[in-house]
Amino acid sequence: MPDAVAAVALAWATLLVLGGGVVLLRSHDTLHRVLALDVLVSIVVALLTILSYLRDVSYYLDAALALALLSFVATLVAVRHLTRGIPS
Amino acid sequence: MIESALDVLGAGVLGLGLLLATIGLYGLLRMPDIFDQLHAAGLVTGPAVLVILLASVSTGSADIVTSAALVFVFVLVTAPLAGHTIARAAWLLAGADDDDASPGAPPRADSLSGDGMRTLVAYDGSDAAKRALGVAAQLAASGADIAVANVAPPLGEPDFAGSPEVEDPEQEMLLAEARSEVARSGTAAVTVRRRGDAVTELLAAAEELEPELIVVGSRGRGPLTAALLGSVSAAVAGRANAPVLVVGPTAVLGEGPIVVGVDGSEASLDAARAAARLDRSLGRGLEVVHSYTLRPIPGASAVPEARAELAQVDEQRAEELLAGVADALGVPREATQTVRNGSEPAALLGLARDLDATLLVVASRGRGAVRAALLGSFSMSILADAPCPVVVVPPGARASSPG
Repeated sequence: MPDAVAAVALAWATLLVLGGGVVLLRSHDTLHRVLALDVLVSIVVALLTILSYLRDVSYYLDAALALALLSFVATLVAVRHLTRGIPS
Repeated sequence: MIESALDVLGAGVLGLGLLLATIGLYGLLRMPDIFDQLHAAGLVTGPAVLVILLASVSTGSADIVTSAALVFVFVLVTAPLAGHTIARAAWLLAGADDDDASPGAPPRADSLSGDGMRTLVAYDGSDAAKRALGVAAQLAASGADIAVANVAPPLGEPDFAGSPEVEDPEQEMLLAEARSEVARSGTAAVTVRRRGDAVTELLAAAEELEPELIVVGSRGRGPLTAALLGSVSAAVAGRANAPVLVVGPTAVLGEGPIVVGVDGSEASLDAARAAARLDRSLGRGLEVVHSYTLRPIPGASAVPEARAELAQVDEQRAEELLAGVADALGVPREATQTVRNGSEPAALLGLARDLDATLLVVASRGRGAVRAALLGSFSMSILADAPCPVVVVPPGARASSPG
């Protein structure tokens, strides 16, 4: 992959991270925040993926995997806590 | 050959992924409801990330492709699961909300049934809301019927979720506070209990009660901050079914007339009608203002006579416009005046200050928050530094209101 393409993609993804930050700041209750964080982590995973394309090394993808795992567990736990005590 | 084809493919797939993520993020910013937001978020957490991971094939590095495949499978499995969990939680929490309204729960939305101007006030205990309540109490003193609405946060505390029939003590406290504040003006306020997103619930309460005026406090955030962080007052003012009285941080109810700006557009005429209705309830007098700037004509400065003539034409046009508005409203011609050479916000604000206006009435074009911040919103710029409370007449208030 040409470096220029990866560099542009990296810049774009960085802007998206900022956008995700805005979504997080705007969210006004816990559930919205959980959703915003889930999306933000997804964008960071995409960012790390593009970084690994740009640098041509695979370590960043491992970091992305770890981050995605943490985010998944965190989402489940946060939602579990939120809905505690509600009969389903 | 194959290499360059892979490059193009990789760039295309990467671009597609980023585009999907951008669209999803935009949807997330624009949609108010959690279920709608989940749809947009699903685009980012699922397809966007997966497509970006697919682009790894074009790097041609075995390391990267293997790692990417691993992340791909993981995201493929977890993204829908996470989305489902959040959706289920939102569903359960919303279900608990519905129970709130069932028998045994605190009574909701008493109806507004007096003869006075039906007024809905949003109250959440904040300084801005206290100011709004103060203004509402003053309106009540001049005979308005007040309903106080409080929107509790959507079940942050699991204790309430477990026992939905229990009243939210904080909500009750806030509403009692609001009731006693209104009671000082000698009238009793009805109360509206809601739970969920402030803007959505306030608009829903307004649909139910069909008030003639909605009063909200504004924290005084500028247009840009409001667009980024969200402004309840701006969102309500743009989408409500009734004129919205926005009480800014420095606004005080004056002793003078109600000032309304008209520019000849249908929207501004409707704002003038709304102002006339408010005047009938409040009896403070009405001041219809038309401000205009002389048209800049290239070369006109060289011929003073022509310039004077053009100025006269402009003036005549303004006079005709105001005469038309006065006729349409059935107000005496003396209640109107023109301000020349004023850019509109500055002219209106200056006049409101000079007349010690009770209220300033403007039309809202109903632009969304982002577009308003980028393109400039007339009502927002007025709101930012008005000396008195500002009534914004949203497009929705015009459609439903009779003459």
